[in-house]
Amino acid sequence: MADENKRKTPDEENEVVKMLRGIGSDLWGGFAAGGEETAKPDVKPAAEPEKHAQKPGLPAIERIWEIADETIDWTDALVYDSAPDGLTGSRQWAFYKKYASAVLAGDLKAYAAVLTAANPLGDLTVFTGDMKIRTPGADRLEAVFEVNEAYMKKNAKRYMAGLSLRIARDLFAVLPVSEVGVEACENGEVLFSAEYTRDRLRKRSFACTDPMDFAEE
Amino acid sequence: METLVSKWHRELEIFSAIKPLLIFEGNVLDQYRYPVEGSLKKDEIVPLSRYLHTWFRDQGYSRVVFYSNLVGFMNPYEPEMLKGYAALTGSEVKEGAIRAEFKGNDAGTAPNVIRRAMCQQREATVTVLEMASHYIITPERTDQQDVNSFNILLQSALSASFVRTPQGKKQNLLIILVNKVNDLPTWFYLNNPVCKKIVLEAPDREERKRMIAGGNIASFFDGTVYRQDMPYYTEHPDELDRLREKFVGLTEGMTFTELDETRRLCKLEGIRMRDFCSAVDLYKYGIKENPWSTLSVDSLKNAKKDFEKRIKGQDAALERTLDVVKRAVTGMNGLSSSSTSKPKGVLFFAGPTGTGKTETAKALAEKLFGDESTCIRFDMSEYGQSHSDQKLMGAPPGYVGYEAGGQLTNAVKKNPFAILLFDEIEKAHSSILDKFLQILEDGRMTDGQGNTVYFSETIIIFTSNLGIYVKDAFGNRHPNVTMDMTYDEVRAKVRSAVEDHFKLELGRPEILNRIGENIVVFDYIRPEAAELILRSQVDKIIKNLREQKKIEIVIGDTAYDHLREAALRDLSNGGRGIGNQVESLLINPLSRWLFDNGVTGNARVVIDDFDTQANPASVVCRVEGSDQ
Repeated sequence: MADENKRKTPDEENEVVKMLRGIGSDLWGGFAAGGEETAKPDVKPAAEPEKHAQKPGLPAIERIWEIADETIDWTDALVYDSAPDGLTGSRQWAFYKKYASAVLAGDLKAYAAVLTAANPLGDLTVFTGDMKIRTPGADRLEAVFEVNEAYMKKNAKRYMAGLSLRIARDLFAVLPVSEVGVEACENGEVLFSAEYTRDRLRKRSFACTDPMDFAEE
Repeated sequence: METLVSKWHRELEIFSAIKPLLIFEGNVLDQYRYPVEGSLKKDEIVPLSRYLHTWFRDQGYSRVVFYSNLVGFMNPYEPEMLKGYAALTGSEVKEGAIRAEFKGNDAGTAPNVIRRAMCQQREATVTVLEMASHYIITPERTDQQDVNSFNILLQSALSASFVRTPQGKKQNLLIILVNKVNDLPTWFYLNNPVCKKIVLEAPDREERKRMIAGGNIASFFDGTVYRQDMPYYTEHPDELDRLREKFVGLTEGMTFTELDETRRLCKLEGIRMRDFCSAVDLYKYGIKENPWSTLSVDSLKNAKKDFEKRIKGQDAALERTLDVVKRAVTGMNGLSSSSTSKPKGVLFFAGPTGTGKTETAKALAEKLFGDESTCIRFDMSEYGQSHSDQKLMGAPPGYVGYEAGGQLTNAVKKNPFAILLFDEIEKAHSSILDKFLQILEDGRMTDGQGNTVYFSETIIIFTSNLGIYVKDAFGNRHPNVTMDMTYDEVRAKVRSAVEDHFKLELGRPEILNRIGENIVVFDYIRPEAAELILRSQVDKIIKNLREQKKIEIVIGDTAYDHLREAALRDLSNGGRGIGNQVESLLINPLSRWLFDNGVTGNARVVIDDFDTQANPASVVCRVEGSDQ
């Protein structure tokens, strides 16, 4: 364990990232560029909003926060050799298992590795410009996204609030943090920001949730 | 980690080698921990069918199939086994199953398929009959076809063949899974030399310990909670051990399925590690905040003073009662036993009538749960018949009143945090005492509808007038204790009479053992206490009249002396007797006088005297400064 936590040289880190890319592309069919503490979701070119709003599995931007990624059960991964509910494939479970101990110890390198491999916000990049995730501490994740002009025309505030909530939900699902901060920017200027806590989102009915409730004044 | 093998697995190991018919009864719908390394990982928790499949497969049985009367024969774990079984028995697999009815004696019925499998010598087979409690309506109402079906199974077992396998000689096996063995016709299993019954129990203490041993405990918590809380417990392993120990105690009687559900609930609710055990409360009672855990020792420090406002002249009894409660609050109750599922406390209040036994129970309920109504009273004189246990615990299926459930079980289901007061316990039928024994020992009871009701958050109080009177050889009642005895004498005599009642009269010393040292004897209401009771009752009447009617009552000294003299003349009926006197000497005559004189409010009434000799008693009053 001590060896694993030892600071690696840049070359060694490149090797780790390469290896993770290999696992990630096997598991999730794609991999994002990312660094040790900053993961950047796979950015695909922005397209017509309406077209992507119809994409199966992804709700329209007006209700984007109502669904979220499935939560990774890190404590189950720590204990069980296979998913107790039988819903997660063995290779994916093996990946969780490999990182469970480090993730549950709050190891930021493990966070970065998981974020890079899982790419939790990759599917949302159709609604945004550039997107970044930061891991300032074991208990907190921060995401910053550039707004997509096409969605700003109709109801800019709702677009930013809804997407921010969805981003927070996806980040809570992937790592055991209790806080997520999200900022929406335009050319680097912060237009909207929101703070979320896991306790506040727990057991909430998102179909009845107004994403504006989380906006910071 | 050392190997932990349950009793039923050992029996399975032993008897599957020598008996061709095994009947599993009890917890057959649960999951089980696989105890040995094999085709399944050691300690993996799996449904019973998978357990049996794996165990027999690893023992060298090449054909293990499961039958249920709705689906037929199948093997969801290894379908190839079913094909082989079909070939052995001349059956056909359609859509993953061999369809066969249970009833009758046609060649294609399940019992005949099983007979062919049991009697062949080519491949070792195990046929597991699942849900066998549902094959016939009831064992008492079987028709000839039902009888034929079980008869064929019986003959199959009696003529089961041995088969040579690479792992030695094996006898073809028939395994029947039932909720209760008496779901089967008695003649099928009684005096059947080839049959062995194996009882499947809920996981024992060691099994439950294993579930949360070492790193396993992690899976009970949400990842964030575990990441935040675990460092503390890594530094303080003793505290984690204490939590584990408490959890193991609280989960007594829970099945693996229930334990797993508790695990998932704990995770879903984001319960902190320090509140681990509240997950059990949440699972059992649907509430997270256990009123017991919010009770502070400080709040009980002044309890005696609060109690004394309501119950007069019972210093020793109150002290003893509060000792038991303090033990419950500080969690010291389970220390002398392995179970923390038992009720929080058990008290046996004995003593003369009207001395404050019921009032103490009510005061306790108010103190502990903030509401007197959480003291639920059962008058045991209503439960004197042999069938009374059904009234209390619920009638079994098919009986009148089944849907209504039991009065006790319903009350505890509705409010698990309660004081249960069983008044005049000596009047209950002895069949009820057996139920109490179970509640006191295990802290739970299954009602007629099959729901488990937990008593682990209750305080149980029995009251009794045992030992106040004794019967002579002719059945005449004589006082055993009298008011001129000291409290110590009264206590000794009453205790001894209570002990004699359970030991000698009922022949049930085990009930006495469960009550332990918690027999609390209430003293007679002595004159000093009687004075206080009278004063408190009179003050209460004056206060109520002032607040509700704006009538100020003043009782002159002479009048009060007369009232006191009359009210306290006979203390044999205790506080209740004083109350009766106050009603007939003060309340009734005063109401009459107020009514007759048209005083309905805003008045000052002076009572100059009471005529206690008159019939009915009357008051001598005058209105001072009336504005009417």
